[in-house]
Amino acid sequence: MTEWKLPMPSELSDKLQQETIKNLQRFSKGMDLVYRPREPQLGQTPKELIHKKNKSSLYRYGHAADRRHAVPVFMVPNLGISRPYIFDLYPGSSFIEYMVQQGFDFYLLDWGVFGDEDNGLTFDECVTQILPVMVRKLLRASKARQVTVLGYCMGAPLGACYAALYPEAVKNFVNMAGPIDFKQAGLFTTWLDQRHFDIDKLVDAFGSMPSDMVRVGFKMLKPTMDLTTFTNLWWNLWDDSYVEGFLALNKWANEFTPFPGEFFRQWVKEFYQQNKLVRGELVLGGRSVDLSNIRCPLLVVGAKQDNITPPQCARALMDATSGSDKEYVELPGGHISLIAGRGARRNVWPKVSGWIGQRSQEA
Amino acid sequence: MSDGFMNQDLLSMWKRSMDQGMEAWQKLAGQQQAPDISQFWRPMFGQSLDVWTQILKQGMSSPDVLAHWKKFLDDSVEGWSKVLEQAMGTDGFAAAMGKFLDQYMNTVGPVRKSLQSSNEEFLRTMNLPSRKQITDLASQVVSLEARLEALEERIEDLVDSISLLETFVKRATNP
Repeated sequence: MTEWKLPMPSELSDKLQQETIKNLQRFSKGMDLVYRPREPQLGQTPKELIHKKNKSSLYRYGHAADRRHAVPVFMVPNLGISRPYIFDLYPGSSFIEYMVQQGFDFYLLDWGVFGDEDNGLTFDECVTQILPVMVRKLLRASKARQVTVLGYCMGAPLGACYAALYPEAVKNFVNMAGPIDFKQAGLFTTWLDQRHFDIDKLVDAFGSMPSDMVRVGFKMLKPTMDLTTFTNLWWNLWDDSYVEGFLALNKWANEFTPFPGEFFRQWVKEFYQQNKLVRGELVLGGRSVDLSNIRCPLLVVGAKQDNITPPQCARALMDATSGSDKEYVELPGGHISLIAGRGARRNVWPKVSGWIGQRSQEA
Repeated sequence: MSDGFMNQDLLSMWKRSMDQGMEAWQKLAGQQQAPDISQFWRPMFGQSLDVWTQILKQGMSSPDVLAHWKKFLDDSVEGWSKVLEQAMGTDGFAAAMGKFLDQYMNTVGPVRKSLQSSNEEFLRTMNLPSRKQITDLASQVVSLEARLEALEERIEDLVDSISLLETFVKRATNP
C-alpha cells in the first residue's frame, strides 16, 4: 500500500500563507493592469539613422568606443508581418543590446510599414535595389569592406539571395530560423498550396496582403497560443519582471503589418508554391540566384519547436551553399524564442555572437 | 498487488479501450487519415495520472493544488494544440480554407470595388482628392526620392573618386 505522509501543520500553514499572498498579488496586479494599463518602453538601445529609402531605414546601434570587431553586422529581418523592435525589446532583454555589448558594429534594417503606394514593390526590388543600397551605406559608415549578413525569418531568404548575387560584399552569413526549402515549411506549405490558395485573386482583390489577414494566418498556426499566453500571465502575475516582459512581447505579438501586394504575390508563388530558391530556378534582377555562390562561412540556427520555419526547412541552406566553414545548430524553443526571452539570452545569443566574433577580423 | 501495479493495469486497460474506440470510429467514418484524437487524450490523461500517482506516492507534502492544476491545464492545452495542428495540416483542411477564402473574395471583392468607385464619385463631386489620387501622389514622391537617391549615390561616388585621386597626387608629389 502507498504510504500516506501528512505534511507537518507548520509546513502546511506556511505553504498556504505563501499561496494566499501570491493570489492576492495576482489579483491586485491584475486589477492594476486592467485599470492602469501602461505602455512598455521598447527599443532603448542608442541608435543613429544611417539611411532612409522610401519606408525602409538603416539604423546603426551603440557607441563608437564600444566597437571591437572589424566586420560590421547587418541584420535583415522579415518584411511585413511584424515590427522589428522584437530585436530590441527592453534593456536586459534585447538581442541588439547584447550584440552591441559584445563589441559589434551592429546595423538593423527596418523595412518599415508599407502603404498602398508601395503595392508594386516586389521581392526582386528588395534584393536588387534596397539591400545593395543599404549595404553600400553601411560600408561607407563603418569604413569596412565586407559585412556579416544576419537574416532572421524571411530576412534569411532575402539575405541569402543578396549573398548569392553579391558574394563579394558578404564576409559571413547567418540564417536564424529562415525558410529555405519551402516544401518543408510545415502548415504554411499545406495552406498555401497552389491547388487551394489563389494568390492572384487575393492580391487582385485587396491590392496588398492586409495586416488582419496576416494576423489570422499566424494565429491559426497555433490556435491555443492566446489561451496559453493568458494562463501563463495569470500564473505569473505576482512577478513584476514577468509582467514587464509580457507587456513588451504582447505589444509586439499583436502588432501585425501588411505586405505590399506584388511582394506577397512573388513570395507565395515563387517561394512557397514553386520552391524556386532551393531548386536554383529563382531569377532576380535578370540574374539567376544560385545559392552555391555563397562560399563564405555559414551558420544556420534552427529552433526545435519552430512551426513557422521547421528546423529542416532552415537547414536546407547547409546543402545548398558551397563554402567549407559551415555550422548548423538546433536549439530548444520556437520561432520567437530564438530571438527574445530568457532562453534566447542563455542559449542562442552567446552562440551567434561567439560564432560571428571568431570570424570578424578583416582580411 | 500494490497500488502502482493497479494504476498501471487500469491505465493500460483504458489506453486499450481508447485505441479500440478510435479504430471503430475511424472505420465508421471511413476516413483513412482522420486526425488521431487519441494523441490528445493519451498524453493528457497519461501525464496527469503520472502527476497524481507521484503526488500520492510522495505524500501530500505540498498543498500546492493550484500548481498541479496548472500543469494539468498546460498538458490539456498542449494536447488540444497537437490535435488541431494535425487536423489543420491535412489537405482537406487546406482545401476547405481555400474554398472559404475564395468565396470570401468573391463576395468582398465586388463590394470593395463598388464602394471604392462610389466613394471616388462622391469625393470628386465634393471637389476633394480621392484615396487613389493620394496614393498616386505618394507613388510619385517615392519615385522622386529614388531618383534623388541615385543622384546622391553618384555624387558620393564622385567625391570618393576625387579624394582617392587627391591621395594619389599627394603621394606622387611628396614621395
